[in-house]
Amino acid sequence: MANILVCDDDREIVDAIEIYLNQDGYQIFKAYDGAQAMELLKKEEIHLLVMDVMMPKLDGIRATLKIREYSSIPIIMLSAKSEDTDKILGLNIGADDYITKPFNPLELVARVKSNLRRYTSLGSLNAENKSVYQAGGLVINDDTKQVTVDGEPVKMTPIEYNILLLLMKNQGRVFSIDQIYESIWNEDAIGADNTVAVHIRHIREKIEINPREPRYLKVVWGVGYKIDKQ
Amino acid sequence: MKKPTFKRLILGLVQHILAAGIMLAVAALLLNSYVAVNSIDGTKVYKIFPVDVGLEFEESDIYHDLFRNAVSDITQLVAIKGQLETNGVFDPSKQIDVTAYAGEIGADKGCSVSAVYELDNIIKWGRYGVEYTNRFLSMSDFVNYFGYCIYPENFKLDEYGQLVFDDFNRVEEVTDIPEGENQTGEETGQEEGTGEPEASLTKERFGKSVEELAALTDKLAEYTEEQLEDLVFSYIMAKNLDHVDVSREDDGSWVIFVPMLNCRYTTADGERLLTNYADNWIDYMQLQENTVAVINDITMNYQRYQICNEAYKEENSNVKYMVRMMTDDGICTYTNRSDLMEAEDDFVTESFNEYRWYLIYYPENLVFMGNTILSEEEIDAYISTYRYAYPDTTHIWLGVDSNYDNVGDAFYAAHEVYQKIVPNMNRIMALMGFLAAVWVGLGIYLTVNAGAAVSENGEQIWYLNRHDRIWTELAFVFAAGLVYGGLFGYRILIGIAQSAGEDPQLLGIQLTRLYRYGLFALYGVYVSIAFDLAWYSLVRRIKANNLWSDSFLHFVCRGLSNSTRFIFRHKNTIISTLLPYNVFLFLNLAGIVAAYVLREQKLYMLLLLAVMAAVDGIVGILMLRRSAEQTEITEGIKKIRDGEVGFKLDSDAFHGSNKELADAVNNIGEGISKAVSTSMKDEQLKTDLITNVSHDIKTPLTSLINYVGLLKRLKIEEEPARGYIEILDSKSQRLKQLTDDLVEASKISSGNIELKKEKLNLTELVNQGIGEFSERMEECGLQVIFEESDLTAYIYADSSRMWRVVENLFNNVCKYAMEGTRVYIDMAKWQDQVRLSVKNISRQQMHVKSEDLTERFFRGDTSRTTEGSGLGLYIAKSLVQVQGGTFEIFLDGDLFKTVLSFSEYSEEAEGLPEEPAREGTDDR
Repeated sequence: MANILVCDDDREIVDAIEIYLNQDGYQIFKAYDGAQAMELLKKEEIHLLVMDVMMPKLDGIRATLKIREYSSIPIIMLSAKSEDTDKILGLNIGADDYITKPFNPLELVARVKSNLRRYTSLGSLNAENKSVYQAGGLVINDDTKQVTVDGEPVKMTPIEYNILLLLMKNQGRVFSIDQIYESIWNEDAIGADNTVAVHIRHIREKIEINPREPRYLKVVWGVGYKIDKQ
Repeated sequence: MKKPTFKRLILGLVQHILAAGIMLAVAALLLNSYVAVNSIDGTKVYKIFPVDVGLEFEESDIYHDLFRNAVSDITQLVAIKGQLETNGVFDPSKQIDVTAYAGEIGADKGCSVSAVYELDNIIKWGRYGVEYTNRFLSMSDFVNYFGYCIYPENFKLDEYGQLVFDDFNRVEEVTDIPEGENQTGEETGQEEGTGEPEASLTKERFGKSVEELAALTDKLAEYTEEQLEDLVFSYIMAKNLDHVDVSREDDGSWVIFVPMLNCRYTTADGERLLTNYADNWIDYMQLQENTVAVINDITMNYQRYQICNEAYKEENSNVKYMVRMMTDDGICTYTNRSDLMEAEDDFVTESFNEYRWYLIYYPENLVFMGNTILSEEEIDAYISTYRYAYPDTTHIWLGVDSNYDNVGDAFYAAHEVYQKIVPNMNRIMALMGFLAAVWVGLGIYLTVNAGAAVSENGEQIWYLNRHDRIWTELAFVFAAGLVYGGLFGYRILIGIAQSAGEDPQLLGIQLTRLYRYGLFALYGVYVSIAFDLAWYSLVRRIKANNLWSDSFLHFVCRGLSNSTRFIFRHKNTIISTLLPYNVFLFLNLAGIVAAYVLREQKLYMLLLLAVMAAVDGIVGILMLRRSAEQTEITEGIKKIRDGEVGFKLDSDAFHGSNKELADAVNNIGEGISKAVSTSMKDEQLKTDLITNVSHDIKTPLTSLINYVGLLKRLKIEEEPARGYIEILDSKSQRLKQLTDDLVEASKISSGNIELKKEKLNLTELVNQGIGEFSERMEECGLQVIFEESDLTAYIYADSSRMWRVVENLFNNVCKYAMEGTRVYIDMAKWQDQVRLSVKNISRQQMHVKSEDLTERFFRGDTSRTTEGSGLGLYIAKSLVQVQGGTFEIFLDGDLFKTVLSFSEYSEEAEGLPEEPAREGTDDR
């Protein structure tokens, strides 16, 4: 099973994370500051790193920057800083994911799984297939009508599938409720109201780890919905 | 303010109508109460009002005037009768001796010759008019016109032995007088002289002895003809003959101008020319003047005679007269009582005594009887004008028949009008009085109420109309103009009233009766309106107390006092600026004057001018420098104002007061810079505190949540441990929520958020929100109704913040709405505003005020047991406000309604500068 390094200056948090991840069968290494984490990374074969931002000796940001000099292992950042700017900074300097404290431990576990799957298994994706569309860990195969998230298949209703396909085909473009309605139902959007919105939420619940903070299907409030290119 | 404008207008109108009525009544009085009477001097008009009111006609002044008029007429008539009549009948062939007649009427200047004309010819001549032929004669022609007169008999010696002309004693026709001297149609008038033998100098003639004549003859020989003619001419001119004029020609000779009467008719002797009656210019001119005077007088008298004789005929007049006098021809009687023609004087007197009014006058016996107001002196004055016609033996009887049997004469007409007008006069006056009383009453009412109005809160206030605000002096001038106009109109009216009975004209318009009444009414209206304008305005001004404050004098005084104060406040500036400036001007002037004085000494003058130019140049440079420095300081201030607080002026580069100013500006800049940095530090500290605290809470909270999660995974079944774990779980979740909300709320309230405004469709957002919440709503048994889901309403806002607002609202609904009810969401566009309202029925009874709901940490349930931080609505409201919208909450029983309103998106709004969303200090 995968080896995961958990690094936080708060021991209780590290211990709790250890318990959750142990239960899912991961091998846990523990560090309490950036420097310790760097040492462990060199000594052990680590597949994923969960790291706090604010730590003594070497903080999460600098540690990530150093690690990225030689390694491309998934790094999930944990931080009490919940501002958008903090998240953007973290993701920009090389973190793969960013989880704000206090977090739902189950979400952490899900994200760990997701990141590991992508890191280990997604390199083999057949990107040449024209009817296959991909955005990060989200893949939709129009031939087989199959949707997978980080390799895990997801069940969809036909409408949900069509909506997702529309957004995946036009990654980066924002679709308004009316546009989605008209292209899926082939009807004028009179009385479309919130059916599309409800479907979108259902899709999000199926493909996102935390639907409130979606990674793939994003809500542009007051405008529409989109899936970003990744 | 409620002005009673309409009411005042109506009352004013009533007043004007009343004024017109008053004036119409006045007009009725003035224009009807006159009597126009034909007298010997033309039409005479007598007024009844206001002279004779309430008197009997025979007692009235009019009556007396008429009587006086009759006396005057009759005295003249009798005199004229004497001139024109023979035995009581007009005699056209009556012989009129010109000079004698002229003497009677006092026109003769001592003429020694005369001519006699027939009355008929004179009247015809008068009607035709007299004409003259202008003669221009040389000196010689003039002197010898009537015949040669240079004879010794005509001269005398004065006390110095000088020869002077004495008189025209001897005038003889000279044969060698050229024919041309006698004008066409004129015969030589001196024929009787030609045939006479040459008077010899040997006889004593004209009071001159033979010796004298001989001496004169010798003397005459010493003089030239011209000198002698000069002497004659001087004599003629010394008699002051009218109309004879002398002028000198260019060659020095004299030309004499004489207007000579064209003799239209022959005299009774059959002579045609008046020159034939005279043998010299003096006699001729006087005779000519007498003739003209007689013609004029008789013509006039004849006209009067025609009028009066008819008017005072027995059957035409109620005035009876009789004049009897002793003349050279015997007793002569003039009367219109033919029955008394031959009666004795006493009987006549008795007869006249029967008349109501009579007058009997015997000047010779000084008898004067009568019961009229006419005095003896008065009648004497009338008679004395015609003294020649009234010998002392004259007896005069006059009386008026009060029965007025003869219709059409002055007394009858006056009596008629008088009887008609006088009884009505009191009624008209009463009407006038009544109208005037009403007018005054209205005036008092309007005066008391002038300027009064009722303000909105029911108080009485004084207002001013726009024209009450013009300068008081101007208003007074205007009022004076109105008064002048009134006086002018008054004069016109007086003129009209006085000319009643005539046909007067005004500005070329014939004033008919209608016009006259119209003018009176117009005048009344004018006075009323003028009063309205001027008086009420004055009253309003006095009441509103702006008589002084709105006057020009006040304006001037205020200006003066302001400028005085200005001068005193800035006396240093004036001393430092104006004084040097004036000295500079004076020095320049002095320099110029000095240069002018020294213009002779070129060297000094040039030197002086050079010094002046140099000094002026230096002053100019100094002024330029000063102005440049001021500009620099202004620019520095602008820089500091625009945020460059660290900017410094180099104060060493400035001079004088500008240096002080520059130092002060630098100090201000430093102060601002200090204050800004302090406040920035404070802001930083505050934000740091919030983030640090939240961070410090979040870390232990993470452990709490994680371990609670672990506990739950242990699947502890036994109660109450499982319940405790549930409580721990929910409370730790709530703590998390609280921490997040707290951070957000403090950031919004301290302005530490960054807005990314964009055009967004609020409907879309609401639809998205409903989609997001659809399952939760269903869980709570709530039905969302959003009718306007296809309305497009764009606003300009930060989409994620707007979502936060909508999310909070929906969260609120889920938490507090009663199960099984409907939630209404309405969207409306109204006057460039987009309004979104969310209505739901509260689950619990609300004992709160709507404004409390958006307070921080307030929750509908006072026990604070339910989930939620109490910050939801506060955050929503703050976010809406920070984006320029409004957020209101209405409570109506259990109905809970939130209303958001934003201005609708427009292209311009995007271009506007951002809301003062301060830069977040998130760059830790």
